[in-house]
Amino acid sequence: MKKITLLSVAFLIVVGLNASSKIENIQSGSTIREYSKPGAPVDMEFNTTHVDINATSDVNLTLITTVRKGNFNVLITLDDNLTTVNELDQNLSFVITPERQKFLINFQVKSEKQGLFYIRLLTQVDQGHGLKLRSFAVPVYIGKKPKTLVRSSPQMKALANGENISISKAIETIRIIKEK
Amino acid sequence: MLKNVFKTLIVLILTLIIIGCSGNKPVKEGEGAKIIGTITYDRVPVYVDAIGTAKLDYDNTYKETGKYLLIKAIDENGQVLAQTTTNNQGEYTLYVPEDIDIKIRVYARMFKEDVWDLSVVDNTNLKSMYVIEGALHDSGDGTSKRDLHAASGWDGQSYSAPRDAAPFAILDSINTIMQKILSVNPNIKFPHLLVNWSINNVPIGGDPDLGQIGTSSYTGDNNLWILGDVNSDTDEYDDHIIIHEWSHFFEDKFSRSDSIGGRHSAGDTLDIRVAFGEGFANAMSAIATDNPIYFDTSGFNQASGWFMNIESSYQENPGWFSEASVQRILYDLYDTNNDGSDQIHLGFKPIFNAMVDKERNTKAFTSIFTFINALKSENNSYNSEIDQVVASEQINTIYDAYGNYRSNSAHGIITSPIYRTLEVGKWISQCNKNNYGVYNKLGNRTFIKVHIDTANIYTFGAKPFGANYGDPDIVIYKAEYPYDVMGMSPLEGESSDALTVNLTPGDYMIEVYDNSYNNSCFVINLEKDTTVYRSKMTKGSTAQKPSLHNYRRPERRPQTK
Repeated sequence: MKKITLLSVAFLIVVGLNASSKIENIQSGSTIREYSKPGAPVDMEFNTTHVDINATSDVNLTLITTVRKGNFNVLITLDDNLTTVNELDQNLSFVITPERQKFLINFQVKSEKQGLFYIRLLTQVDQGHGLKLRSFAVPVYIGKKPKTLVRSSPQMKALANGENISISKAIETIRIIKEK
Repeated sequence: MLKNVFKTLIVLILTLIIIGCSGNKPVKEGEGAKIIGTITYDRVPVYVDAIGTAKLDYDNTYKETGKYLLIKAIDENGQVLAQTTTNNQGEYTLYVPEDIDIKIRVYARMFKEDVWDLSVVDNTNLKSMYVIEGALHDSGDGTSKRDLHAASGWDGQSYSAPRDAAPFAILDSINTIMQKILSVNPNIKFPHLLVNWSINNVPIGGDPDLGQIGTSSYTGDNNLWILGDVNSDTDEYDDHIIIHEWSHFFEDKFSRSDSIGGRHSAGDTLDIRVAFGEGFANAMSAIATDNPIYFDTSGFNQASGWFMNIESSYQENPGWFSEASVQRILYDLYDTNNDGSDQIHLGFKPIFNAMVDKERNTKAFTSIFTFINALKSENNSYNSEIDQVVASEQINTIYDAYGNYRSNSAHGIITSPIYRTLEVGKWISQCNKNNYGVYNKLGNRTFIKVHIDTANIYTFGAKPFGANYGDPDIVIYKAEYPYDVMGMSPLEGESSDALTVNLTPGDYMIEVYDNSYNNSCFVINLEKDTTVYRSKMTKGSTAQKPSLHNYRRPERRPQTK
């Protein structure tokens, strides 16, 4: 009996530890009411699940336009470290009508690496008198959420006078004009 | 503890000794070794095709000069021995001690005392300023020439090296518009501006330290934000976008904009404040560059962007609510190309003068009405030509700042007058419409003029009118520069609301909208020191609700700090 109790406790601890390490936060956002530069009249809402490495993140995108007619194209690209779990047509086309101004795109992604990755959307609205485009990026967090970005270059240097600079090497040409 | 202090002191003393022993002291101008040179960067032009696509044309990249940039001569110990700025040709001259190792550092900072001070920093790297620098070389004893160049980093296929040219391209675009301003007002002083650009800046809002800046924008806090996301959306060479966003900085510092921001597009039927602000900024991009082709490159290899002609684009939805109409009107008033209804060439000065004076101080919300009213009052002899250009956008003659006498009702969305009037002790009804979208579209908000004769506490009430309920919000502005929000009704999710404020004699503007953006109607009343809605009152509150969306240029991004 004692053995069974001990095994059960150990089992529960293992299960509990696993449960506590599993990440299942919903990351959501919307561009509605946000300022935007000139471009296609398109807004985006998104939900992605913040998951662990190799776990499946659900991606739910909603694209909304105020235009009542025209063609609407969406090109979806993923960061190299993200892969789609299910089949995804990355080049989508829709016809906008007064009844159809909202478009839902759902799929799943995963990653073998930890970090912040992006799904990028390039949307295009064509009403027959000039294209308009708008780009979006959808963040997908895998594993521990980064507080800062990892970078290799350029070099950031803090100077004694409190000035922070990012230094790059210039292409330099030197010529002696006049000797003394 | 003492050991650590001792160690620190030793390091400090040694550092001072090294610096002292370097013996490198600055020399006077004309003494020592002379270093001259020119600073350049890679400028990537745009190519626009017949089917409406705009792309960065890397094959035709050319060297452009880096103007008014801060330059420092630095010795091997990191000591600054001389500094200057480049001239309008990108040239500099420095005098340094003879026969010592010196390197030249170029800052992505345009600096001219009491004229301008703007720099480009990496918002994803502790706001560090971008610089390029040469190697340490002997200064010699005569004159030497050191030219420094910032490369684009493009190798013919992709960006395989640091994009060093980008910060200098951004500064050069801003210099273009600042020179335009200086051409009509040589004594102007530009406030400090920080341009946040990074290769990590992506088109989604979130944490700016991670590059989640939402879009290229000006945030009203002396900060400009520029996208840099390769194969998605980079804006460093899109000069019209840089100038567009800088023009919002101009409005903020030298004129006034009551725009509430939000998503907007050329064919939208917009809130008049948004339509004017965005149309003005688009027009400024064409005026500053004398190029009406506004472009925005994006996509793989920055090769699938779009463009529009600021002067002659297709009239999708012309009217006083259209940013495209505003930009076409302003550009036609400015340009030398007279065509059709455009028989006027005012140049930039009258536009500038109207913006910095009457537009800034108008009692109405800033719009095409306030601007044209200001322009006409200062250029009486051109009134018929101005009216003609305005009429070409289906806007009949503008007689005042409030846009009275409209015939274009935006397909029945607006009934004239655009501004209502509310008197003390009376009520009016108003309706909210979402036919063209929500938040910043025409029909979402009602503007109400109020005049107060005697100082007192006043209550504005809003309650349902008819069958369609909503969530009324009332905002009050003092109708004078800077047109700040004085208070806002406090309730969320309620079908009635009220705002109690202490008012002094003068003119005020009230904005009423349905925060649920339904098609709804409200009765709005104004009472002096009344007990109506007492249970829901605030006392002249300037506190803002968490979901407040109606202060100037709101919600464009989370603030960094």
